[in-house]
Amino acid sequence: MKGLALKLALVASVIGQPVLAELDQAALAAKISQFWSIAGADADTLASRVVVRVTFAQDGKPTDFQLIEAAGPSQAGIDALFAVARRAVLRAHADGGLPLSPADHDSWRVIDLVFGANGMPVS
Amino acid sequence: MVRPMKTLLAALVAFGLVGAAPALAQDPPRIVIGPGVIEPMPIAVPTFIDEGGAGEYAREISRVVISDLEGTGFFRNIGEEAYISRISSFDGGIAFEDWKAINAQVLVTGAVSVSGDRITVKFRAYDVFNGQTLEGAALQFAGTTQGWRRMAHKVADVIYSKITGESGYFDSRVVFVSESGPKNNRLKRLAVMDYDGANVAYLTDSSSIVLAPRFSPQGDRIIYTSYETGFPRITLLDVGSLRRQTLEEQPGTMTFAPRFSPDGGTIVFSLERGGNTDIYALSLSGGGLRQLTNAPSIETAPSFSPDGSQIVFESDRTGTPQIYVMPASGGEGTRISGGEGRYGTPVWSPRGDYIAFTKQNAGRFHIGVMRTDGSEERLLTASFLDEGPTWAPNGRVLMFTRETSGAGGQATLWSVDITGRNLKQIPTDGPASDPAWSPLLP
Repeated sequence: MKGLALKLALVASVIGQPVLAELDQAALAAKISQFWSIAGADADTLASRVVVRVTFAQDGKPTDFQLIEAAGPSQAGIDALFAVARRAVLRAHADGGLPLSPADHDSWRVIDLVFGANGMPVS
Repeated sequence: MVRPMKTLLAALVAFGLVGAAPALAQDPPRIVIGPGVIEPMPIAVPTFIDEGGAGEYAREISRVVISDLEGTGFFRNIGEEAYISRISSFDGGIAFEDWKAINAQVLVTGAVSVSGDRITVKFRAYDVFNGQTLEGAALQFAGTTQGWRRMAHKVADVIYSKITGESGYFDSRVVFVSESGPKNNRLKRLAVMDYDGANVAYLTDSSSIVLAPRFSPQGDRIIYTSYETGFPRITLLDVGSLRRQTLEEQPGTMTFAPRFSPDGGTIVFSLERGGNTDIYALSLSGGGLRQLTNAPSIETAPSFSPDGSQIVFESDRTGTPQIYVMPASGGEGTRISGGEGRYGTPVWSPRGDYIAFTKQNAGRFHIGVMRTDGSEERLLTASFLDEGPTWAPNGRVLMFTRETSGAGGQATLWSVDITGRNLKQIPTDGPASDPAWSPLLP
């Protein structure tokens, strides 16, 4: 993985679009995970998967959410998972901010976040 | 600038460094979030505003809404001592930043007014981080002051539904057998209560034993087994008038374990005739008795699938009680229980996705669920004696009887989520058994 990250960083530096480092990605995922709760989700929500494109301001505040990919048994389940995902990001930001460096804003101005509850414990 | 970049990219491709890299570099980073947590959602429900003559009602309705939501185990109410803002007017602005600061995900505001014996409850549920009302969660309900608890349950049902995506179950009733007296001379009478144990009303006296009450799909009738004649007989009770009627079409010596079809027009039950027990169906609009099973073993505890096409039941034809499914028109049935132990009292979920059952194995009783083909069996409880599950109208929660051991053992009512979480006792005045959940009230 580190080799791939090095290649991506190299390419990104060449074409002028920095990428978010793996460690930063992991830190962001860990922070958001703390606020992603599926308690109360119904079976369709638990079986859904969504990719949410989030736009961030330079201070790390999420400013826009778009559902760009979704799969699941029903639209209601997808909608519910999208709402849960969105709240998780907003709550994570409200809880002391997200671990994103303002100096690297170009690398995290837009991030696609993948949420899928399959495999998560429910009891 | 363009040309050198292309040149460099071409060089990188030539060295095998890039592959699909240009596309990756242009796309936003993709991060998989997981595994997440299962924590109750923090919500804020400030005491509803009194808009005229409703002081105590406003406080009590707020309390019941909070109790309903917290009782699911999915929500955690934030106490008023943590509030930064106060809600002083139902139509006033909301300082969402103040609610965000205390980490409330959902804010519920409400107002209550009373005029004579009429009460009006209105509420809004806000997505705090969005700063907007949850779609469809700004409503009002009107009724009599006597029905104030139903107003609260309806408010909680809407909030629960909008947040979880499932229908609610708070505005519902449970019929059960209220017990009194010593264990060897127990008196039993039918009673009905709100799903949370409040508002108990008694439907029969204690002069004869009653068993296994079941609501009709419309909630307007209850069918149960009565020993009024000295033998078990199926009896129909009109909930509104409390008028009782013992079903006449009963040529056998004993009839028991009745249950309505999903359209309410038919009942299925067990009939013991000549020492053998089979399952029969009886149309309530006339049309006679139909025998659905024909086996020398005991066939009992029938329960329809929600679409009315199948019946799950219990049979000991293999030597131990097991669970079978047959067409609603009858037949031998297909065994679906496969684990060790004895299975009984199967009940089809109103969602159609699971069958709840009682299981006895290795000296313990369990309430469990399995898929309708018998797969994914999951035991939710374990105790000296757990039995007789009944489904909440949304198919998410089960209520059942738990009895403690010994001469002083008592029957009590409990509920549990279908994931096995949130096991809790339902408060009743005394011993209670045989619960049956109503549909959501109209």
